[in-house]
Amino acid sequence: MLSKFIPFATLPPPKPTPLSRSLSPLNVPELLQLIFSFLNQRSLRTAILVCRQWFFLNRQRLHREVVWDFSWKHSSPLTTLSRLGGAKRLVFRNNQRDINESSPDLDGLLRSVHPFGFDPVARINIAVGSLARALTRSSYIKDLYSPLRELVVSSDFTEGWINNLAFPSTLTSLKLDKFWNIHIDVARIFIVCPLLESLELCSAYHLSLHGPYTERGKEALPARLPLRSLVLVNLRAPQPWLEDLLTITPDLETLKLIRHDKYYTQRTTEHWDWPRLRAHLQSLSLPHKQLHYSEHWHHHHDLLPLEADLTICPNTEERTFLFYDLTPKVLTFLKDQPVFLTSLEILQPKHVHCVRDGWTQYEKLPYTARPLHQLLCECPKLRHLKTLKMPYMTDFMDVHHRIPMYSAAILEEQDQQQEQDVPPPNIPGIWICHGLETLHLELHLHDPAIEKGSHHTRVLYGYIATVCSRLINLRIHFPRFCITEDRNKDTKYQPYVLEGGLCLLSKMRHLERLRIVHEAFVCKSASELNWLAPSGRAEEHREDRRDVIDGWFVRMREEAKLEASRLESNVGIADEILGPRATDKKLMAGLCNLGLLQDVVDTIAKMDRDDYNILPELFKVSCGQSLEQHPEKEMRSLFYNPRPRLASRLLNWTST
Amino acid sequence: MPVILVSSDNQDFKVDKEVAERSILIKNMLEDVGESDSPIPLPNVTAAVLTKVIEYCEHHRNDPVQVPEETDDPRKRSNDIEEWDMKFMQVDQEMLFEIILAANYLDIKPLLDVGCKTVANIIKGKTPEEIRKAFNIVNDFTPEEEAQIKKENEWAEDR
Repeated sequence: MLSKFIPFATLPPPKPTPLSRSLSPLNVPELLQLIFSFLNQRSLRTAILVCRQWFFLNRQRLHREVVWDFSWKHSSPLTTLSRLGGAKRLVFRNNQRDINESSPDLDGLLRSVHPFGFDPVARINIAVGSLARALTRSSYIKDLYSPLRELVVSSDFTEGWINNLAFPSTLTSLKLDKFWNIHIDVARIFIVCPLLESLELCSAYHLSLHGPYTERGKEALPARLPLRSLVLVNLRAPQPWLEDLLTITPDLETLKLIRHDKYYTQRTTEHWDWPRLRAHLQSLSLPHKQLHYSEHWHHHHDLLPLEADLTICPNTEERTFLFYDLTPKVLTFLKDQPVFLTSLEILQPKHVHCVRDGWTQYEKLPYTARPLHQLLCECPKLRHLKTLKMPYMTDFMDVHHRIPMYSAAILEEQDQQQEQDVPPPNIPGIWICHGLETLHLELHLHDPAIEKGSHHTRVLYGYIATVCSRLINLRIHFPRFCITEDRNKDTKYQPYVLEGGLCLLSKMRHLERLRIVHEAFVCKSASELNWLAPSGRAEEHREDRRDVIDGWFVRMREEAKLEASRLESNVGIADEILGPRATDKKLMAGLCNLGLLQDVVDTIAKMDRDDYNILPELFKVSCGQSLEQHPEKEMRSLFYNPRPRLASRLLNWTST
Repeated sequence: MPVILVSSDNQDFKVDKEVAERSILIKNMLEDVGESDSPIPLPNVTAAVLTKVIEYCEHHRNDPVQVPEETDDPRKRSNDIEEWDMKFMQVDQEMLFEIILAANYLDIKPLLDVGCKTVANIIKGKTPEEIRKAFNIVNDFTPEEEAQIKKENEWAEDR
């Protein structure tokens, strides 16, 4: 009933906190923990400083994450190092081709992490000696120190490097993700990290493993591993490897075998005997909560993972489904299980280019967004939705049919040339999953017949902010592959500027992470985007924003005219908005200006007031390819204006 | 059929069975005892607090029974309190704490949650010193300990 009480047996018992009355819920650890469970990260950081009891009982609630992303400007191992003390999780991401001598010294960094603090000698290994020395000066208090528990390495590392990397022995969670094939010594990982509870190994090509399968590894391994979650992407290993491993992981709750590789014919797993694996899993009677086997190319087998899942873990209330595609068969199945469907992940192979709605690409990916939209309109319990490719998505969201009013002229012109490219008629309907907390959307709007102007993003942001107002984590990828035939033509999306309507998200009360990924970052004036960070809410920036809006004067008049003629020719729009949420007055009011510039104007007027708290929970933002960081930092690196360097100044001087 | 509840200071409260059964403790008691009209003593709850608790249960008598969630969902929030509950919780700190303790003792999960959310809201946005003052807590960290915890957290804070 109460939130879990986490023992802190290894720590000195905190002294009882003197209070005026002996009877206080703050003196009952279970109740104190329940109170803390309602605090957000920002409040937690101050609340644990109140007294020892509050600190020791609740410090595990803090997400102390250090991210080291190489695509950030000013990314250095030293900043990472200075933050690493007491961090629980380290995320390392390097999208450069490979790690070599000159690359970041992650190994040195990890060697400096010690179960009971920092190893000062190892620290000197880290690139810049003088600064490292400055850091070693501070000594750590043993009792307060919490060791690194989670490590995520996403990079194009070499086998030799990763198989010798100094993984800290305190790790409970490890994720390795490589862009190409990878051969990993799993036995070494299990021996070096005996506390490991979660292991995720991903490869975009194929993942081969040696470890418990080899005789030597078997002997060295403990007889029992504490593993709770195992995720293998593009695994290429003999079946007994996995079966042997499963016999020593009695606590395994989640097993995901994910494949999205197009070179499937060469795969060893292709010849796996799935009924045998299923029987093996059942004979082990593991405490399964989630089990997935997903494959991509055999869409005629699309119910296999579901059937396996249901026969092996029949009593789970929450599930995650992984699919490569939402076929009508899967859709029907999902609709029959709406009660427990709270999570949905749809994976698509990295190498497959965009696929049109209703299209068949080599008869392998026949379905896409349409069934998903239907599902979203019919599955009220959905809470997490990840990695979706959604062609025409903004058209589905356009409840008032306003998109055609902006692009009618373009449509007419192109209709004659490419009749088959006319988009299918809009499906009206409003997503019913209003409790959605995670949404990762990958838009694929590749139809040359449609001019993707800023009205599309206004529809998108406005819809999401109103329909799923409880979102915590939002990620939107804009098209990458599906730029039309004319590859040199800029996409018309303007996802970052005021006109594109990103500020429509400003009213979201729970949003913590926001990531908007677009190939080209176009936003010339900082004021158009920096409302995301507190520094951008100063009067000068507000004034700049007002100036931008004033510049829309003519277009607003044009828009009002278009809207009037749309209303004339389209009487009874409200009737077209179907679904049970059409009666929700607040929702309908939020959607009434959907897609219009007016919506943006109203939002800016509202958010640029002193008494308005924009996105109160937001703490990580990314506008582009890199990982999310603190909003203030993201703005600083996006609009970084370096002073001309000495060399270039000298050059200037000599040339004049 | 009404149920009679007796507070620690010996006051009788006559409430509908449906209302009393918002408390899982009372519900289980009634199930164990079966048909009986003997009063139920609640030695840990004073009359003043019991009045408040009954007021809450009366207002929420028709709520669907909350299914205990066993999910490890860390995403609990304190800003989704209903308007009526918010008003109901506008009491002094002593009463707030007593309601929480009573809700815990009587096993009324929704009331317990609302109470704890209210306390969480008091904590929110305050500095450690302000929190200590609000709840009369003594700072028992050594200055070195405090400095280290601060340092470890400061990079993640807003600046």
